[in-house]
Amino acid sequence: MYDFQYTKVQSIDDAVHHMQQDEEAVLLAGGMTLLPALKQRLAQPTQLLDLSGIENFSSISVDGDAIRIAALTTHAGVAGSPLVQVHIPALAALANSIGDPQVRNRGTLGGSIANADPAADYPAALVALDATVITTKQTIAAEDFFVDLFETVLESDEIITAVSFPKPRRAAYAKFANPASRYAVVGVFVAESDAGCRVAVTGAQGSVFRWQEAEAALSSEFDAKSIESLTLPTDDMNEDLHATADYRAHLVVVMACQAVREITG
Amino acid sequence: MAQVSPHTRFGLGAALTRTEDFRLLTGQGRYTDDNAPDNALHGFVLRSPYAHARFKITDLTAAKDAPGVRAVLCADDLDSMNDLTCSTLMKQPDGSMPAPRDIPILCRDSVHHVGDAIAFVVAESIYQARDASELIELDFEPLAAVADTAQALDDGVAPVFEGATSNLAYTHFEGDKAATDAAFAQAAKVAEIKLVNNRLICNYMEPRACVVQWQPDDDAFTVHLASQGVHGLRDTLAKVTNIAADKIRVITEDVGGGFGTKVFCYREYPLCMAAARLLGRTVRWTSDRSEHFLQDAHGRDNVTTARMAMDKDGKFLAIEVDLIAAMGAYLHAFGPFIPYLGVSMTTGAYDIPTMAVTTRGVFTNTTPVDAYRGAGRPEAAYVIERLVDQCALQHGCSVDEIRRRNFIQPEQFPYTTPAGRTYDVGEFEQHMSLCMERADWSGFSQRLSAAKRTGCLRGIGMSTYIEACAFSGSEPAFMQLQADGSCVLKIGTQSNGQGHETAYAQIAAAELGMDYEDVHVQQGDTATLPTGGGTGGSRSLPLGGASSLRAGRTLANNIRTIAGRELQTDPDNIVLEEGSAKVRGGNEFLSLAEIAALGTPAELNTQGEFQQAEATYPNGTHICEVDIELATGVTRVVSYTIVDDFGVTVNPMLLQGQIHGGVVQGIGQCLMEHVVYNDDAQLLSATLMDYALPRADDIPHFHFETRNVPSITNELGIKGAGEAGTIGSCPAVMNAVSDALLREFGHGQIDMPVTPLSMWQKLNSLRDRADV
Amino acid sequence: MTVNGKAVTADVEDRTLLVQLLREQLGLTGTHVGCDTSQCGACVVHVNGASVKSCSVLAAQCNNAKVLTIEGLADSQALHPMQQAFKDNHGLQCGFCTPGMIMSAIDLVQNNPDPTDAEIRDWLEGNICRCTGYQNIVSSIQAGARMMQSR
Repeated sequence: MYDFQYTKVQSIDDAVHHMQQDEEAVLLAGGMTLLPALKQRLAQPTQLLDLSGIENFSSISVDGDAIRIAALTTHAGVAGSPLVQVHIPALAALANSIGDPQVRNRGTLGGSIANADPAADYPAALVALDATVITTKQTIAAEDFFVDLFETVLESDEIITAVSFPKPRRAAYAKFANPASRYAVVGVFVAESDAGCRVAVTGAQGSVFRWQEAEAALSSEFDAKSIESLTLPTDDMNEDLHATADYRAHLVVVMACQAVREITG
Repeated sequence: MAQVSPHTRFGLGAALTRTEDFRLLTGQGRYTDDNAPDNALHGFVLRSPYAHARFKITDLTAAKDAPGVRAVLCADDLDSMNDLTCSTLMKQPDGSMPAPRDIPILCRDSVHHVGDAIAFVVAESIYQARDASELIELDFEPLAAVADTAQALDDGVAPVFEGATSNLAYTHFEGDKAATDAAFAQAAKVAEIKLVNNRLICNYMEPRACVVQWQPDDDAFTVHLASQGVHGLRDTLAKVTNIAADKIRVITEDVGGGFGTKVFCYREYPLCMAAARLLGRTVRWTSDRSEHFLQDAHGRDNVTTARMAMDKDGKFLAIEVDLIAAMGAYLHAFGPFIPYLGVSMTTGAYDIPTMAVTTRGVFTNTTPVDAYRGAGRPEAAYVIERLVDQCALQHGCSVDEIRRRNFIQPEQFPYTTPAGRTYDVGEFEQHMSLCMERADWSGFSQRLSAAKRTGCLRGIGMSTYIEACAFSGSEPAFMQLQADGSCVLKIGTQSNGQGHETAYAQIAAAELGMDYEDVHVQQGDTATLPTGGGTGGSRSLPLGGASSLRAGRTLANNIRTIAGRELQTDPDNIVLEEGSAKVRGGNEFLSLAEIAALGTPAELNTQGEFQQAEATYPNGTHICEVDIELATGVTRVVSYTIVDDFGVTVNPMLLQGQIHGGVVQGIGQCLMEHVVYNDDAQLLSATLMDYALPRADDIPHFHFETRNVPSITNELGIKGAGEAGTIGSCPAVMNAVSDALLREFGHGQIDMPVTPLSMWQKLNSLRDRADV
Repeated sequence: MTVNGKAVTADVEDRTLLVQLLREQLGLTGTHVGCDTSQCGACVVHVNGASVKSCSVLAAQCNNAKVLTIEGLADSQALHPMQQAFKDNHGLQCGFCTPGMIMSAIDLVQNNPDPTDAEIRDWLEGNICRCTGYQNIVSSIQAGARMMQSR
């Protein structure tokens, strides 16, 4: 790691203030992505602003027809929350599939989505559930929040405070994990609500995306058979050691079918 | 074979828990990096980002002036040092010796693989050393590079060493070309197989480390490092540094896994010695995982074509092998010896009259290749066992039937192979039959149908491997009865986690009638041990165990003599039990502490040394079942059965642990582990984020049992078991994968590793082929 | 912070990792560093009762926290049941991954007192062992869970 200054901020306002003072400062939530990246000297921030001292920054509550999860809630917190388990069990299951138990004990919802790793799990849930991201500056639909590879709409002095997840009628998440890192090679979150069916895909492209062809097919008949012979264009698919573009495109279909079958039983 | 003491509560064959465990379980283990004193300086190696380049260091000022920096060493600062040499060059078919390609401690003006060492920065903290390394100014002139073993000898490929005409490191021939050609000429059928044995990175859990102190008074060094034997390391360090061996004390305490790769002297050890002497301070270096990937010797990486000539009954007549073995960018210590060791086991457990094996070692711009668990023997077993399955297919019989027809039969022992090895004993067919029974081979079709209903192909495969262990030589053991009645047993092997402290104590304690926990095994210090051959080739128990028995037996005899003298009775009348020397049938006894006070130094210090003339030959059968998920291409090992012949079992619990761990390393090679370089010879699988290691949920529960036929080469009948799991597993898994594909598509050839991606691509091509 | 029940204070560089503080400044070398990318789990300790990878946590983040390491488990000479179970079932060979494995296992049993074979294997996603092939580790954890319950 390069040298940096560690600052434990006391409030969200305090954090915003530091970010305005120092453009090279970065926020430290769980640190599960940030610290390994710093260890590999992939970034050189001047300052780490530790958010863990902020009060009431890791709570889960019912908010009308939605579940509101504060940004610093850990993955283990989401996975173990009775509220989430009752109202959006697929989200609890997704949280329980992130990384490993130790990562889940530290890693946070806000940290994960702010980082916008193309292979992270949460973006699929946010987009498929039509969640709303609440920040210090705005309230924004998840679909508009994620821009590209490691890129969101967040401004340099903006902090995510919570995410509000509307309760779906039914939902499931299926992931094909990278054999080494266990990040998602492809993850597909399928959710059905009064507004219709949404299918969001993570891992496959630079950023999470909705697979609208599958959504349409499932809206007319909610069955894996409706989508199993669909194909996706391979042009924008990621490629790495573990999956070529065509394999990723194929896995999107397989994982989507798996998620639908989990729902239909 | 010597008479061994009857099985007792503490003796040979008992499943004793380990004496080393208490400290390892409570965080009191002493791994190398744990030894660093507070004020030690930290070394950091600046490594090449290029696979092949000329370079010049243009400015060191900023690095030297950086906070905390005490020294920056470059090649020019190491003029008194020699390169790391290869000790196993072998004569080529034309009688010439291959040219050496030694490893400079620091590169002077050219680098040959990513990670090649350029400079050594020493600072008060590791962060400061690393910060400063980024301030070294360098000019690189990148050159063309090659990484692919199969292409290394192609025309037009850039040579790894500028000025060389090709990347051929050496050629070696073993066998009888004329007899083999004649056999092929009269063969009824010929089976052929082409295989890639993928390159692996060892990935023991404890990264290498060293801590070096220099004593100015006598210009001597104390070097703590993680090794597989301190004596070999000390001698190499002496050679490299031009410092007398008696001025270098090498100490290895606990080692977090070695698997062959920790045998060697690596650059960082002499670098720390140079820095410690220059600065008069203790200097430490600890590898991180990324450096392990770049610097520590890699394993395997062969491209092989093998052919078998058969008569009309499927009887093997001759085998011909063409082997291209990657050496990496230099010739590493045992580099050329590793494929040679495999070649010496070419014919496996089969009666094959003749063979012709050509090996070509090739240079590529990659990390050098050397021993990794099994060292050549896994590669050889993989070739013969997959070829034999191909023979069954070609001949039209089952894989067990082709083996039955060709196994060396019990009455043929001692059996000398075409490679010149002499097997002492073996019951290959009986082992195979028992394993098939245990694996319910005959009930496979039901399991196949059940798997199909879940969208999977299922395959079953076996390997009936044989390997060579221990080899000719010895490993003396030194015992001393201590004043408190306990014993010290010193021996020059080095436990890397296998449980030597328990196993040797168990053998010696049985002779002495004492609790094995009162025999304290000491290893890993050149100052207290005169000699040692280290750990490798599964030699520690066959050689060291037999020597421990002899040392313990001599000490027991001496104790009887002392007791007889004191108690005025015939020594034969003394029995050793419960930690004392008793008069048979009487009440008189002496405690071992009392014996220690009465004996002469010569009586209380004994030495045992067993000399073995030939290798021992562990063998057995592994049977594996795999499921291949058609939708995703994911291949999983769903069942694994092992019947092994290790001659004699010292401690079944430790033995089982060795086998489980070895098999999982084999499964890792088959299904996930893979070193990938791109066309510029950049390492793509450079961290555990991309190089997959087996995790608990990748692995099934194993059935393991022994069907032991004692070795008549070894004094205790022991054959050695440290590598067998890795040797038997790859062909069993891959024969199962191949079987699954054959049953579905009529074609089964696929190389390791069978990743989800490679299997999905294979399934697609097989379906396309079926469509045609 | 407290480490193994004892209050400790230390001045560290801001970029100091928890594992560096434990090993280099507090001399608690039972916690190991096996990788740089937080895959291997050799560094697992408990912070405020939950298992974390001490190679991916800053020492400063643990200000005022309760840290438990492998050295804090055994009660003088008596092994913790999970340690004893690893010894009884030969759940370790080289021992390098073992402290992290045990700290992780104890966290599992705190959350799930009677885990199945599959649940254990799943939980161990963040702990890599290169020696044992895992079978004896799984047996050890099952035995350790039983011993912890009956204690």
